[in-house]
Amino acid sequence: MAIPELPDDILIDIFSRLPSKSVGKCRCLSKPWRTFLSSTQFIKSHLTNKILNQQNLLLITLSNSIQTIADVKHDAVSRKLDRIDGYTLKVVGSCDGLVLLVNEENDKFLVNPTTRHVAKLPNSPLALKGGYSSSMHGFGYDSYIDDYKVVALSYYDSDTDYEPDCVDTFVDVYCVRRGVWKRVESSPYDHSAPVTPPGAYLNGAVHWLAGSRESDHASVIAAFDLVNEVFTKIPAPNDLKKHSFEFSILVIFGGCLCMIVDRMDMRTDVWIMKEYGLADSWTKCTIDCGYDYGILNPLCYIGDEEVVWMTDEGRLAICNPKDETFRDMIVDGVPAMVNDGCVFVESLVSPSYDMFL
Amino acid sequence: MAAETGTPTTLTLKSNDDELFSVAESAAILSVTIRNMVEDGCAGGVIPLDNVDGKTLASVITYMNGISAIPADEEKKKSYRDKFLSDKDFETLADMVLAANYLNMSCLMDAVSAKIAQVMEKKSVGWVRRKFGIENDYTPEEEAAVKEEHKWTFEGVETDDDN
Repeated sequence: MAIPELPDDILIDIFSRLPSKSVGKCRCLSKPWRTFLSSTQFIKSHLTNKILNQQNLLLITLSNSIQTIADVKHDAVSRKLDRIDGYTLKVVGSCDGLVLLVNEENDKFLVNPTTRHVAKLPNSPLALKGGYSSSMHGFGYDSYIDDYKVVALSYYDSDTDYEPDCVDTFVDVYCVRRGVWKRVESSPYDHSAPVTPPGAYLNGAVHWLAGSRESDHASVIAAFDLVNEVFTKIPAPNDLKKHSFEFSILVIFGGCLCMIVDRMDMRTDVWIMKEYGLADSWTKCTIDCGYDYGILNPLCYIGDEEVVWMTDEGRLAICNPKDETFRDMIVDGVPAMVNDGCVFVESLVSPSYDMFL
Repeated sequence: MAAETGTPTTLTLKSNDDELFSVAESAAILSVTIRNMVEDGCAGGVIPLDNVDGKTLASVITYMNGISAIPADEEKKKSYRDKFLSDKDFETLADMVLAANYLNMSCLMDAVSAKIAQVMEKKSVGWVRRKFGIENDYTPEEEAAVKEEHKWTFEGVETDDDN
């Protein structure tokens, strides 16, 4: 027996509570249902349903295959995604279930690991030539124009010396749904660094550790606002004011800005900005890594306490903060070895712009 | 007025198939629709609820009485809702969501929608088509193509029995 016909707003409410896989299955019901469940309105409503926002893990193995883990635990099972071109794939960032990956040629791939859609993004016509330049990327969402944006910072650097060849750091922005690159105002900060880390996306801005161009060359946390496309400064922990950020790492963990500072004595300081933008909200904890694990950055929680870390040797280490013990995370029966990784949420958001036309 | 003498006010609700139900006003005003009628002074005699049948209204009133008897404790209210919905079949849940929508009872609406999604989550395409009365307008070739495109949705998913 069929149920009475339900109005669209009730159907959206009910179907928004289903996991992405169940929604995908329901696209096979009929043509009108496929249209309904693929509409921007529905996908948005589904995305904002917080009940479903459980964190999944995406890992890039040493052989550059891409694995995802839906149920993150000590002994996890992974699922393989289709291969993507490149010898060294790196994660730029993730937002609303989309993950941006970049390879050694600076080719950019936007992936929805849930729906397995991959879109190769075009390179900026203004991109600086490889070999003579350094670039770093960020990825996030612009709520004003309702679009995802890729940010590329680049500067001329023909040698790998600390000093860049020219002071300008060019800022190029790509709007995913519009499919266009544009160059915006150069960064007021000094982004030259021996390594080029991805930007950390939070609160509508992509964050990098950078240097001030003032005479003191102070280290700063630079935030690129994706709506206004300008840089602002986020206060760093007071204790680190005189500190150089050159060997620190900035990531997002547990929804907060998080600075990882290697103390060079087998201990790592983890600074967490509990309230975004509030200087006094930085809190520190120190982790004793011992000889076995060189901690790089935290990926996600297992349960309420244990944290999965990526180590500098490519291991995934699970840290129990209570007794400060570490052990390897097991994926598919063996200790995981990874090139890179990130967390993402399940979503139906499409990575390719033509899907929105 | 009855309220001033301490006697609880009772309202009479009428379903669209002409069944009459007595319910304490304090419980009935969980429905914003009914509360507005009471506040507008339209609740003098019988309150007609044109979009709800007797069977569903009886169930909603059981819920109103049950949930209003629980003191302000969200945990207990939630577990009452879960228990209340646990033995309802899919057709009843659909009737309930329509009634909750019409009566403007957001907590019940939320709980029933969640329950419907939970029941549907692992059901087959055929089951959902039958329950929602959906006509499959794909040709066999088109259906094969759309299933191929959504292959990821069928991986590692156990489908419940089609009952």
